[in-house]
Formats: sequence, C-alpha cells, structure tokens
Amino acid sequence: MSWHVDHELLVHYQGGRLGDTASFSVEAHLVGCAPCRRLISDAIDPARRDQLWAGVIDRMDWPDPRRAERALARVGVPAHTARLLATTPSIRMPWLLSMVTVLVAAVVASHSFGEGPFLFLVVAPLVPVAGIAVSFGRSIDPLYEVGLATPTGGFRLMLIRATSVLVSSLAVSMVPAVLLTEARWMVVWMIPALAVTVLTLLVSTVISVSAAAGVVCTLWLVGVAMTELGASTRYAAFGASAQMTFGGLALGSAALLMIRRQSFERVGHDWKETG
Amino acid sequence: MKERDLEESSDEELIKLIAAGDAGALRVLYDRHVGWLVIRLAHRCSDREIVDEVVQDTFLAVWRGAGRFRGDGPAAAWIWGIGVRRLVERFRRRPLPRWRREGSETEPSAEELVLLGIEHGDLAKAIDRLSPELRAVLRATVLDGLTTREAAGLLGIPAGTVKSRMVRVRRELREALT
Repeated sequence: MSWHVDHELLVHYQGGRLGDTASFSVEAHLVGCAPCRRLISDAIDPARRDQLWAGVIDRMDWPDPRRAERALARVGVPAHTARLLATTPSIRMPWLLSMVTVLVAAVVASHSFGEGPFLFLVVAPLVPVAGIAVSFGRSIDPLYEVGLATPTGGFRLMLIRATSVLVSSLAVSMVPAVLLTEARWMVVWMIPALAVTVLTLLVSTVISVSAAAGVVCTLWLVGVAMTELGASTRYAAFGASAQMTFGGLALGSAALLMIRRQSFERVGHDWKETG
Repeated sequence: MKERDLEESSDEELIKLIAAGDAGALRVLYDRHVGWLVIRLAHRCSDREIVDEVVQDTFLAVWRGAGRFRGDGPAAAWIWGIGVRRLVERFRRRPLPRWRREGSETEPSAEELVLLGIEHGDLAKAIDRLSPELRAVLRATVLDGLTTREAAGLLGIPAGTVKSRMVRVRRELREALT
C-alpha cells in the first residue's frame, strides 16, 4: 500500500478535527494497515489503556450472559429483569420443548380417539401451572433468603417470574393450537389457563407451590369431567358460561393474591421451601 | 506461549490462541487494537464512559467468541464489527440524546479540503457536499458495514429514514460524479 496516514492527518483524526471524508479514508485504511494502527494506538493515554484492560480482566471470569438473556435485553427488558427471566427454569428451551411435545401428543391422542381437540383443551391450561411448580422455591434459588431482603424480592419477584411463565406457556401452547386444531379452539383454553395459574399462586400462599399445583390440577380435571358428564352438550366446560366463571375465578384469585401478598415476603414460608 | 513469541504472532494466530483460552494472547491483541478502537468509537459517541464500556465489552466478546472468527477478512475488521454492534446495542438499551452520540466533529479547514481534493479527487468533493445527516448514514452503512436497522440504532433515527437517506446519497453522488 503506497498511501499511509501521515502524522498531521493522524493528529487531526485523533482530535476529531478531521472532516468526514478524510475520516472515512483514515478509518478504511486503518482496518488493513497495522503500522498506521500502531501509530494511532501510541497516542492513547497509557493509564486509560491499563484501566480498560483491568476492567476486561475483571470480567473475563464472569459467566457469559445466556443467549436468552441477551435477546431479552435487546428487546428492551432491563438487564436485571432479563437475568431473572433467563434463570427461570420453565422458560428455558428444554422445558418449553417438552411442553410442546406434551401438547402435540394430547392433540394427536385426542384426534385418534375421535375426540377432536378435547384433550388438548384439557391439558393446555395445565402447562403454566406446571411451569409455576418448577419455577419457584428454594430448590432452584440458592440465594432465596438473600433475595427476600432485596427490593425485587418476594412478591415482585414472584410476579415477574409468574408473568414470564404465563407468557411463555401461552406462546408454546399456540404452536399446537395453531397447527393442529380448528381456529375456534385456539383461544378457549386461555381464560381457564389464566384462572388456574392465578389460583395456583393463591393456593401457594397457604401450602407449598408444588402441592398447590397438584391440588389445582386435580380440581381442574375433576371440574372439567363433572361439567362434561353433567351437561347435555359437548365442550360445556369451555362454553360461554364456563368462560365467564373462569374469568371471575381469575379476577377473584388475583384480588385475594394481592391481599395475601405479604406471605411472599416471609422467610420460611412453604412457598419458598419447595419447588 | 512465551511473551516474545506472542508479540511476533499475527492477529489471526493470536485469535486462535484466544479461542483455546490463552489470556496472554488476548493481552497482546488488546494492546495492538485498543487504541484505534477507542478513537474510532469516539468518532461515533462523544461520551467517554460509554466508549470505555463498549471497548471492554468488545474485548470480552473477542475472548468468548474467538472461536467464531472465520479469518475471511482482516482481524481489525472483525473487531470493529463487534465493537460497533456493541455500541448500537448500548444505544438501544439506553438511548442518548443525539447531540451526545455525534463525535466532536467540526468542519474541515479549507486547507484540508484542498489536500483531500488532490488525494481523493472528485469523490471526496462529492461526499463533502452531502449534508451531515447523509454523510452520517453513508458512514454507518458503507464504512461501518451496519445493516439498515443497526444504522438506525446507532444514529437514533427510524430505519425508514436510513433507507430514504441512502437513496438520496446514491442519487447525489451519482449526479456529482457523472
């Protein structure tokens, strides 16, 4: 290469006093020219260089932020919330994949028994409940007590995680719902899903979260079975009046949950000890 | 590897060693590249704290992602690609007012313009005649190699504006050069 950045040009470029066109030339040249890069690098304050390096060394051993965490940060989720979400087991890929598998299996089984989407509708609302059951508690969070003492601990932490579980569960349920069932069945499981999820959180203020999930799952299955057996039409458990009931249940549970939110701040509550 | 051997290694060899976990190689690569990276970033962001943060992020990304270097271009271009994207990401996370993004650029002196005219001929004059907004878009897309979306993130303008400005850049340059 015959052209090199001369001293004057370099000084102007470093000081930001060079016009755009000349800067373009300098920058394009620097990429391919090691001697010119060395020239310009010598101009940077050695103290700053060392200080920057110290920062790099300091963070070299830090864990690499997960891909999910970076993706969340990119769409505008604050870094600390992104970290929280990325460490929630039920929004990790293996869990989501297993949930999709379960739902697809439910749809296939349902169809092969000539039941239409029925089995899918029964299983889909339980996905977020299962997600809640594996997302909370001491078993996944070794710093549980420490977390309680922080401003994001307790109730707020629970809300952030529960929301992420709910959103991701709805998203994975949409996969089989869109691919495998008729359009009208795509949404009828959503309000029941919301209701049983909030109910699980509410019950978990009294008993452990896994027990709460078990109780709510049982209630849901028994409730659906009894409604279907007692009603004259199929899908009564997902009809308009049932949707109203589930909507009411979701709102009522949410209200009670707000009242009982103190129980998420206490150390030693069952909610924290199992999961 | 001994320190002197590292000093004599090419950037590509260093990156291979870094991929294998050699922190000494990273130090040598850092020393070679930190200077121009700091100054080039400073031309795109006048906030020194952010530049420092982005430089550190860049070398950490090199440390972790050295295995992804394919060696199909100069190492400096690869490092710059990482650095400028970190800057875009940084702006996206916490946008700065536009006046703090721009480097401390001023108009070139008449003398410089004359020198450049000799050096680069008509193209330089044509680029200089572009408005500053158009030149910023030209720099982000052509020189920095950013996509339309990334350029929009760097400059703090909508992606559609980047596209329409690029159309104007092309038109104005074509007119000036033919």
